[in-house]
Amino acid sequence: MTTLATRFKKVQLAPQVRDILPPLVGLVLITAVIGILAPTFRQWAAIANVFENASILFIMATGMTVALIANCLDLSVGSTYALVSVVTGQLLINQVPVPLAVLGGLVAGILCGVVNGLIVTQTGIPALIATLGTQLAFRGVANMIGAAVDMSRFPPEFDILGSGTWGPVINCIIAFGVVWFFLNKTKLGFHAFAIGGNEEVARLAGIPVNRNKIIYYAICGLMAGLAGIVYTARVDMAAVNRGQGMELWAIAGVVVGGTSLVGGVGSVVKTIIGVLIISVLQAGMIHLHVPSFWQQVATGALIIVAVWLDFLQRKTRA
Amino acid sequence: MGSSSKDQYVVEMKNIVKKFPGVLALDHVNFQIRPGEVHVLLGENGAGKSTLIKVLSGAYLADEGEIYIEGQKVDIKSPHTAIEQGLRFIYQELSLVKDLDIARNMFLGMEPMRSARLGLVDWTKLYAQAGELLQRFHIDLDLHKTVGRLSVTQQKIVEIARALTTQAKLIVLDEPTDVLEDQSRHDLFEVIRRLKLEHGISFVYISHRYREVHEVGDRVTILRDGQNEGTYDVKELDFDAMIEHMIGGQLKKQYPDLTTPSQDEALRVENLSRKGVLNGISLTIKKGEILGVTGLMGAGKTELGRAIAGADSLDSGDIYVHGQKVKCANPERGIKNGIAYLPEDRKVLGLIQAHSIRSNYALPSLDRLSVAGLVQHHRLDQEAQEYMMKLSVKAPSMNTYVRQLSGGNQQKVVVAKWLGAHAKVLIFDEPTRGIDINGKREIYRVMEELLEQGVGILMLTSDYTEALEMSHRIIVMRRGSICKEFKRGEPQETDILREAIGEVDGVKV
Repeated sequence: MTTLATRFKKVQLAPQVRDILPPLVGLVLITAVIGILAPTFRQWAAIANVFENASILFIMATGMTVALIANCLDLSVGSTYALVSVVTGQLLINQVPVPLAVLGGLVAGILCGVVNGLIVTQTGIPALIATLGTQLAFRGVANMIGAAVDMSRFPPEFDILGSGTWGPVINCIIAFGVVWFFLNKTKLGFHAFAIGGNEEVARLAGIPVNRNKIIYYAICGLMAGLAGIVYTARVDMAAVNRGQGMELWAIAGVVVGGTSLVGGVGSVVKTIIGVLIISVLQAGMIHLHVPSFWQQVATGALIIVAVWLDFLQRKTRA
Repeated sequence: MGSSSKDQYVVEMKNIVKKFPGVLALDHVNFQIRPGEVHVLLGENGAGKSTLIKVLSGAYLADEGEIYIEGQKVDIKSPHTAIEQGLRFIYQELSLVKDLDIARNMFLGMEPMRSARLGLVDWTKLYAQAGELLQRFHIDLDLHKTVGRLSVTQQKIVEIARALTTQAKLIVLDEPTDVLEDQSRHDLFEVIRRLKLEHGISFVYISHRYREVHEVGDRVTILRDGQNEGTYDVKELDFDAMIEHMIGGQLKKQYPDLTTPSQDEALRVENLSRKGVLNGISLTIKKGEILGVTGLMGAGKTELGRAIAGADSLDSGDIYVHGQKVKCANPERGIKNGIAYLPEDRKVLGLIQAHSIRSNYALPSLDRLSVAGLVQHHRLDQEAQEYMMKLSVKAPSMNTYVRQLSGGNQQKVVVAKWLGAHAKVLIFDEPTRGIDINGKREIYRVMEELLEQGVGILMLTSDYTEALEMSHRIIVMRRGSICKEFKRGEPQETDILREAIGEVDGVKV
């Protein structure tokens, strides 16, 4: 059927559309299948719930998108999330005004990222190991600040950040806007692609690779922190044991959307789709009464398949 | 009609057609290899050489055509079939495990087993067989030596030895000498000659270096635009005729005339030293001048380039650009000071292959093209477009991925990138290695244009002809020092070679 092939070829999609098509089709298919199998999934409440759950993960994943595009793996975001949660909680219960408390939390997130960036760039330790170390360390700091302290019943001006469907969604839109602008409009964003694409070329082109990497880690930490704040506001409570293993979910969302795990290629639009795929799948499995252990297995398999696809794509490109 | 060939040929490829989307890569190509001959496959980049070889190796399936091996029709479906049929392929990039010794590399994946069930390798047998093989083919190498410690030529020979472990009838060598130094090529040729004469093994030899055709080849097949332009006895064909067949027109002059440089100095380097690599290098380049630096591999050419550009650190030495003393502690500073380094390995170090022409162009110029940290995309588009036109980069658009471009066009993108960054001094490291004759000519034209704009060029090259033809002055390096400076037109190739080798180990040529 050459005619079909040629006709298909004539439909020239804009590259931006063509790029996101595969995950988008995947999302639609998964949603459709679950929608057919699980009648409860077809209600607005269920869909709203997906968005609410997806939103917090998405905020974290936007930062992870920046980091992964620059080939800066960050496994510590789950701990950063908890650390920011308790820092903000402490500030709030000590009567610090809400805007300042939020700011303090975000600064803590940025600092976590800077620490990651400094370790990776100054010691040359692989990011995988370095951020695995800080994952433990940040969790430890969170425990120092927040263990055995009751941090809840925050002012309503704070809780509004995470309440209902709109609280998280608006924060999502902010995170998306910031990261989209950063990646598409700024010099630093442009450099992220170059550094992830080929660090040595970037270095020889005069890009201050180390400084930039610290910034990308900082953005990753900032967004993990924002996610932590939104969650804290949503449940009206700060606790140290939040966000364990969340880094994997965030990475999965980014990679399932089609951003490369080894850098150079990606977009935050893809991350929207990737995070939705994961959230729909998670919610769908609950609606289908899949036992929770199997949910973990399925998500793990999804991550592996996504990375494998990225790997295959790289091979054909080379 | 298949019976005409009989076993007159080791391999006969008949009417091979291979289509890629939008391209007819091979257009009914016939290609015959006799037993015990070295058959050179010549052609420009994109002429179809590697496609033809990939069809033979089973990496590609032909759309039409037949392949006969010793008169038998064979369906080569996968690389595995090709190996079974006694066809071996040695690619440009070395495919040896550097940390293993020669014997283990030779039998990698085919180790003789003591017990196949338990997966125990019979090491004694492996070394015995490897030793026997090297002896039978008169290859003089120490079995126990780690491959990583061999020279590149020796590694190539080990790859040939590996091919010989499986009763090879035909060995295909893809541009083997591109990475080799002049005098060590002859060691490789010697091994090829002996295998051919004493053991009747055939070779297909793919090369860009036209002179080698006469040195090593018996017959030559020339491909152009996916068609066989003809197969000739090497003796029938002189250099000019060969080029003519290849580019399908009369031979244009390969090297341009160089204009006279200005009196103003573009770059001055004084007493540059880096422990164990560079010893007290001093040189100057005028605006509009090409200074060629040549020498053997390991003489310190690349190291010199990287040191000046700030990619490697220095122990001592001063650098002046347009008479101003500058410090290049890192490439970022180097570029701010107007020095750009164009690395030899364009694929890895010069360009980001998975990104577009436009993105690659922008890399060093973003400071200039940004206002308050925001990229001015329209200005970037405009400039990228302009430079693509100026350097006649052949690509559908500036959003084309760099990996889709030919070597010559990639090099032009690299140049555009640095021109955009307003470089005053460009350091070209092996500017034309692995690039065909048309591509080379274009690169030389680009260099000329750079000279007219008053750029000073430091050209690091191990191609002596290129050094002779494309430099105003030539410096020969040996072991990290400058050992001789020639004026244009002064030296012969042999003079350079003599200086490059020095008195100590000059006998091997």
